[in-house]
Amino acid sequence: MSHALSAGLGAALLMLWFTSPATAQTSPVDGLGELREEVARARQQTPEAFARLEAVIPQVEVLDSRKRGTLAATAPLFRQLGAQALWPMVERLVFDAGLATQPARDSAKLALQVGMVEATGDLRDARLLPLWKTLLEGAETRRPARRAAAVALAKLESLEAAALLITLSPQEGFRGETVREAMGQCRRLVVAQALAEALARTPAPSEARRLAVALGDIGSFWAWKTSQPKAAPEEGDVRRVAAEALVNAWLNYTGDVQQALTQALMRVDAPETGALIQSMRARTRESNHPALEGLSRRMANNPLR
Amino acid sequence: MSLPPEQRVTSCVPLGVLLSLVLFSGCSAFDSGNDTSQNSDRLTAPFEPNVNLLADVNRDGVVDAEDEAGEDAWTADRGAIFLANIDDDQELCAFSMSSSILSDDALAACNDARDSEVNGDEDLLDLARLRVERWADAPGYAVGSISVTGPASDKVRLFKQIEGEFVSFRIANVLPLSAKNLREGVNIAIEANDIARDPAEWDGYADVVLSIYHVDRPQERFQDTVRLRVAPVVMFHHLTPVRNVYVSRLDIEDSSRFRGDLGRALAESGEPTAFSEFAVEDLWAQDYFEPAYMSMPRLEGGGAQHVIQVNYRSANVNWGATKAPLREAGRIVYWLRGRNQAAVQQYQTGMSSESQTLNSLGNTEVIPPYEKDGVKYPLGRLLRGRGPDSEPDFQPDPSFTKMLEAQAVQPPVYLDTSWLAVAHVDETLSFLPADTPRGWIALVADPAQARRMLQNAQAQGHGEAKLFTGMRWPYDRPAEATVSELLNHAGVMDANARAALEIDEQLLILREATGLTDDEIVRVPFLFQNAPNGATALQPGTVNLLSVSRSLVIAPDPHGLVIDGKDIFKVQLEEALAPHGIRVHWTDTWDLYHLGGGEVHCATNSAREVPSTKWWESGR
Repeated sequence: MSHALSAGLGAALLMLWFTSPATAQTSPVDGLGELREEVARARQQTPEAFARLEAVIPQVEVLDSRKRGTLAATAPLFRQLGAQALWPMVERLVFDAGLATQPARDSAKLALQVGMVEATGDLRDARLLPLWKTLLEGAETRRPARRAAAVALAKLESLEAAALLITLSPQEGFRGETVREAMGQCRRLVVAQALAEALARTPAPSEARRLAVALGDIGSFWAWKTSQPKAAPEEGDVRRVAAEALVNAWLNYTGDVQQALTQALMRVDAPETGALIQSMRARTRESNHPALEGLSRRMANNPLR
Repeated sequence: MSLPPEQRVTSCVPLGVLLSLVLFSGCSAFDSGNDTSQNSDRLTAPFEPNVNLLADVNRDGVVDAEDEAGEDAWTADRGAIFLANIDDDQELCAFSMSSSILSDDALAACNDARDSEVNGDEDLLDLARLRVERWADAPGYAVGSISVTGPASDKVRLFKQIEGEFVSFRIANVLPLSAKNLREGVNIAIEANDIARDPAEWDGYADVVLSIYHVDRPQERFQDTVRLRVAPVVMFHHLTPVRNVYVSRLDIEDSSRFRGDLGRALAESGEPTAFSEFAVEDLWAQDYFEPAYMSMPRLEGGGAQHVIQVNYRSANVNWGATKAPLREAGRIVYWLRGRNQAAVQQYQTGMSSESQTLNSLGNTEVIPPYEKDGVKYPLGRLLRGRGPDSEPDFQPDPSFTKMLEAQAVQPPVYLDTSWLAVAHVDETLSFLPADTPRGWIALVADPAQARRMLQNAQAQGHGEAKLFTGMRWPYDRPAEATVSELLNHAGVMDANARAALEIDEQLLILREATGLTDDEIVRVPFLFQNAPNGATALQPGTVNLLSVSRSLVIAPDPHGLVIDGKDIFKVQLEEALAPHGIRVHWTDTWDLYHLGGGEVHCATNSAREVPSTKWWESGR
């Protein structure tokens, strides 16, 4: 990640701390002590849940052998175990001392890790924030595993989670990339602002594409139509910030990056988009006008409406 | 033809090579036989040979005088053709599914072109013929050679007919010709030992040169050149019916049931198709190999094609601690290798592990034949998925891409599939024959329509109605979901918003390439969902079907929303295809295939009737 991008995200983080008194009192980088206690308690109270988890893990090998792509979808395997499987999975994810049985194939090991992260992440349990922090700060080198942990963190959609994402996002290489890819799942204004600032720095095409997709995710009007986003009052601002960032960046890129920006704009479909494009048209040189008119036409015919 | 003296050229074949031929091939190569000419005039008599090499330039299966014109060029109208003789007509090649018994490279190394023999009568049919026309007055001091030089020199083997048998010599690309040969004329045969893979290395053309010279003046040669082109590998499109359907056979009940249903549907289709089962653990028969074919005019075949089926092995390079470099089930192409069945593998290491899924051959399909803006694609065009330019680490194997593009007759169209977890074009698009001016229609996944269908159902009071009734996720968790649950799932909705736009972009490229109109597009509604590395079909992806014939497809049961006793997703597809005379046979893929990321098309593969359109008429 570039220094400029890092500075942008840092500014957003700073703003978050100043505007969120609640988070100032609760450290988002709490340790794992509470989780360890929960796991120990669960071992005493529901030992059968741990046995059930171990019983299904051989199925990961089966699913891995039947996958079509590079990664088997194993999360349903763990979701079906119910809420009682939470602490057994947490134990495996973060407290396993290397003694737990692992699948033989590397691809199955990865599928196991990702599946458990997804299944626990789907619970959106705020207590798991230290788990995601530990995984994302740890030595994990497998990109899908890091991405799954970042998505799990993002899905918490709390201000603490947002702050942690912003903190982790400037990491070098794929460690930061996977976080930035996941940030769009955290539908909070501060995250949208961080992504917008990062895109405003005109990063390299691959990074711009990543940010465009994340802005499309965070502002996705189909997602906001559901009752799931936790910060419903922020919808208008999130979509506006996303649209502004995408329109402002649009002329800076060509090819597949511009296409990603267009798609993200259509996904966000902010009410301000038309005006934003007109404003950009007024500010830019005439040679850009046909392209912007083309963008306006595509927005007017947005197939998602 | 006889060349005037001014067309004499300097030797191309090194003298050392010819000397070697003399030494290694014994007396017969230059045996002057019943030569009665005297040496007394060899220093003074005019040397004006009849230098005429013929091949089947007009592609009628016969080598004769009508092949003379334009023989040294290769165009859509004229030009001789030869085959890569890489099948195994006598089934002599060893095989094992185990890479510890037989390595991938050892498997690939065996075929009929690897030895210097003609491997039986069937093998003889795989050789293209040429003929050195007789020079009745050739004196005893006239000698000659047939040779192939340049990039093709190590790609060919030449054979000379001696006493009824075609024999090759120690140096594969050069044949010696004696004075007797020249006087009587001689039949020549040629094979390639490979297909064209990399135009920078070999573009598939071979210039076969007949050289005749005075034995005392070997540098002064009289030559005739015939240009041949090795047959490209052509992939099947869906406009011809299946002739062999392949599926993996796993020893589990779900596999048995699927194969049973598939077999029955094929039997009832009326198509004379074989049904082949592979005992491999890999479910995805569509991905680990791909049947294709190469052809040349059949010898004395009255215009028919002589065809060798070519089975591509997918370039899925294993990652992690594995013994073999390539996906194991792909070795099945070598099990299939036999009479008129060839196998080709091509891969390079060093690409990212995530990109390997792009090398599955479900990600290489064929747009059926069409013409746009005066440009004809009579064998269609390949349709391949790839990542965007800004993601160089997520691209198909460059060496395999180069090989496909080197075939030239089906220039590829590329779509961005990087947003899909499996990243294959067959997850969103398919093509079916239809009685339309174009002759086919495109089936396109449409998640936005699926969402609208569910919204309409909800508006009509069916919000609590369930999809996937009776289906289960792995390990018995019920898969049922209500209409309202799906419509209120932020992740599912956003996944479908993105999918809808990405598919629109794919369709834009397809329209631009083909000129497809709305009337030629059948929308196939189903929802997607987010997986860790992209989108996958949430509902069974009904676009992922097997086209059997002009009137039948086998599609995955959508287990969709049942209203008034009817699955509205089934009804939608049946009604969309009925006007084209296409019936849908539904089969259940949920447990075995859908949960793994694929459906019927992914589960099967098919060799089809070879189109009557000949590749050499494609103009490419």
